Amino acid sequence: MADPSIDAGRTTRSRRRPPASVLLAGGLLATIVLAAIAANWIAPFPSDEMHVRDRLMAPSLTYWAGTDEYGRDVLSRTLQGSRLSLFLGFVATAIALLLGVPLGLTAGYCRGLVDELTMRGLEIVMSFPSLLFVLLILGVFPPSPLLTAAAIGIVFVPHVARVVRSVTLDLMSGEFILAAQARGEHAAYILFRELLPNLWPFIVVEGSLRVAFAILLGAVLSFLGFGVQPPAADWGLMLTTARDFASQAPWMALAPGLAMSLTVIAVSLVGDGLREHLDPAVRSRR
Amino acid sequence: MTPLLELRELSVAYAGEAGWLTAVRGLSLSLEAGRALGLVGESGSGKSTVAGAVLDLLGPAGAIEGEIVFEGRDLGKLDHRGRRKLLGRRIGAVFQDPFTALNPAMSIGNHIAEPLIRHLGLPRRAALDRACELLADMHIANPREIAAAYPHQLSGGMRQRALIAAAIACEPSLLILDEPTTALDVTVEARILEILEELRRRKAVSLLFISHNLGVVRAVCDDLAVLYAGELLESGPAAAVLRRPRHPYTKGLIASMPPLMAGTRRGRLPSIPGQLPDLSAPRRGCIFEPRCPFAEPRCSEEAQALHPLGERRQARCWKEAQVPDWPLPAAAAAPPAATPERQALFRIVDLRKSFQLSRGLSALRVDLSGKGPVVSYRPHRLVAVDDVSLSLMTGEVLGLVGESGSGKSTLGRLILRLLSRSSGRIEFDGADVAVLRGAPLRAFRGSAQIVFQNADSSLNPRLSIGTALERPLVLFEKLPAAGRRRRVLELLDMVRLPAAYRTRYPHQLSGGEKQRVAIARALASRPRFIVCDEPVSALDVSVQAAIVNLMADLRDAFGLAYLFISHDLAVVAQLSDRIAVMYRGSLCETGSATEVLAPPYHPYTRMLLNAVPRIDAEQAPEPARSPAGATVPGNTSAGCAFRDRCPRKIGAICETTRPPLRPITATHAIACHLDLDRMR
Repeated sequence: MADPSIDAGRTTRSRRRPPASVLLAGGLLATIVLAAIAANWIAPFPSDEMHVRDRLMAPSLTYWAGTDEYGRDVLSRTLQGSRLSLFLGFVATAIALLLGVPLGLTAGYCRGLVDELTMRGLEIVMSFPSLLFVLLILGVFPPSPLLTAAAIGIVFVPHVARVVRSVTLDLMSGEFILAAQARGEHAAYILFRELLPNLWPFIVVEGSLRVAFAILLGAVLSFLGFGVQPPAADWGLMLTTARDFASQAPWMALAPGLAMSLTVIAVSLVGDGLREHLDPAVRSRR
Repeated sequence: MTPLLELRELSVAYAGEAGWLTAVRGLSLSLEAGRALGLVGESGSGKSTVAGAVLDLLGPAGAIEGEIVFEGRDLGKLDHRGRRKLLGRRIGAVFQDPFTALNPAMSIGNHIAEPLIRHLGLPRRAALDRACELLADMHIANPREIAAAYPHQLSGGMRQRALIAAAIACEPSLLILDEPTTALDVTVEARILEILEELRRRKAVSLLFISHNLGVVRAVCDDLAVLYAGELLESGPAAAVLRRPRHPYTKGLIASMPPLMAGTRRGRLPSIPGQLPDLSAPRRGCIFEPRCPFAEPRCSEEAQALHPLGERRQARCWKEAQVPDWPLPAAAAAPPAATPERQALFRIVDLRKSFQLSRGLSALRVDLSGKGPVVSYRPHRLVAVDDVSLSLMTGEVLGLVGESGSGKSTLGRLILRLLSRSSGRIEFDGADVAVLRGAPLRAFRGSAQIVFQNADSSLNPRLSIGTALERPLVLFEKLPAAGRRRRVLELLDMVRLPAAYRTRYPHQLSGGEKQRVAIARALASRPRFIVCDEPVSALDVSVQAAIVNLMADLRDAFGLAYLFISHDLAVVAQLSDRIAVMYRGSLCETGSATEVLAPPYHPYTRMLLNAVPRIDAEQAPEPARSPAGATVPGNTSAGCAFRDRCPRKIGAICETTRPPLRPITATHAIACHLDLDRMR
């Protein structure tokens, strides 16, 4: 009966630290967010200040990440641009989760007609290429960063809902759901107290993927000229312009590309760590 | 005579997160050509690891020491390629789960032909012909059809036969069977055992038979080896070991098996307390010492060696000569052996439940044969419970027995209104359950609860044990937080779990402990009735006995009524006052436990009873010969549900008229057209 490892697992739970990779990724993510907030103060130059003599300069002590075709400091622009990219990533994901999780939960829980209607409706949204759908929304309404985020979020709703629904369907076959029904629990209790805690790991992983995708989609939009308009700074937009100078000034793509990769990696790692941390089984096995 | 397979000091360890876990420790065994060796033990005993080591299936995670000598060669010295050549050619293997062991995209014939083409180089056509012959050897009536079929079209028993056919296709000298019948119904199991027996006789293949079921091992094996926590505790000829076990653990295992006879209200089953030792920490003394009721200080001091006991027997216990029989437990706190009150708690009248198998768009049929296309809506229905009438008295235990697909669980869920009935009536305390609303419904939910088979999935993995137990208290008792905590401790105590378990999570508990928590949760609302849906089927024998005892104690302490659903007649007989036998949704026989287990029998009850593998030696299992078709759930036409499999079918009347439940005595009723004399 007295298994010492069980007790150890329990008592050290509050004191246990997540693994180093997650701490590192969390630190990186925090730094990126802080840098985005403080961009105006820490950037060495104003993001739209042109240095006409120093056009297409390679990275140097003055311009750490080089300059672009107008002589603007790439590092400053990357910092400035992080605000918009991060805003897009997180707000779009929040919208996708806020709509997608309840839809998927309800569809998986109710099954039958509700499921059919919800999922077929979402499939209509999915049947459009996501880029086309976002462009459609952006074409109709006056552009704003919030609208872009909302459009991307809506495009992601079916993806989130499908993941949540399939996990819910699987969980519904668990006998603890029947046990709850045998106690006469309300649907709301079963949905949010029995099912939702089991869904967190999937929501976290899906969410971290969606942040990355939203940032990338935002970049594509800017790239196509539908997102942020020049001369504003944005990672996608910077990559677009960098393409034209790829042979002369490859560093123009380096800083925004690196920033984007680091953000995506950090978000995924933090998501992965959170998933493990939320699972009592993994938590105590350590 | 050199043995066909010999294990010499075999040890297998897995690299775990907490260091090395020794799954098998210093195991020496030998299997002679043409013989069958049974490897017995509970989960965690390392028996499947032994099979994995011989078959080279452990992968890089398992570190193997010692020698595995097969046909004079040490397998450990061969490379993977060399071993692959032996697998399927000289060594065949069949595993537990016939539902996942076949590739769903490959026809049965191809499964069997594959090793023939690969190892023997037969052309495909010849291989397929040979596959059909092999299927015919497995007593499959229509081998050509089955060879062309895909796995999903076959029942579990048929799939297992196909897998055996594939395993012996190349005429291997050794066949390793890892719990081959555990996932199957008893009647199907009996059939598979017969086939194995015949295989041994005709092809002289040796068997390494792994099972937790002593009765099955008795039916198949010549020799027996009992494994516990990776160590061999006892071995010898199967009949001798089972008749006169020498090691305390073997004694405990045999004692824990419920006998196939009606239990009494005071009776309790012997069980083995405690659980497997930690496999990562080596023990100094006897590995079974912590759970052994006969342990002495000397047991924990010196490592135990295997003592030869003559007649090819050995046991790992220094005091085996002095060990008495396994102790019998007493009922907790002398129960008021109250006979159930004659007051109906439940009355079920003509209850019927049919499921729509296809609906929505998939039920639409388009008929293009007429002038224009005709669209019709034809949902496919399955009758799971077919006009069942039953009643249950307060404080009574009603056992419900039947094979999988007989509608037992559906009936249990209908009674609790977890499913809605199609027609008929269910009364609880005189009130129709289907129309309950509001407060009366809540009261009903509180007084009628359920315990499930699968303790893993019946507890929410994200909720601590305390939280799970508190929830019914919030719902039904409206207790303040302090009162709830007190009551949770009370509940844990009732199911004999320590108070510290309140803060644990399900994954930190063993299967038996989880089942105790599930029982405590059902008890929290102070119910008068609990549906027990196969509550011990997934547990090891020793744990199963403890849970059955616990349920008997709770029944006596709180005057609980149970609907005890199980496919295992022996377990049902232990606990039940009355037994109902169900086949394809309708009742075949009802009566007191003693009446159902003695003649006159319904032919189906007789078939079930005969199929149960026993360990008592002299009773050579009477072959449960029957046209053992698959149990297809649901009866479709008017006749007797059992007519297609009935060995005593009379004739036309069985096809056309459904037999009513005919009273034999005041309490005993059988639904069969046979004369009473012929049912004896």
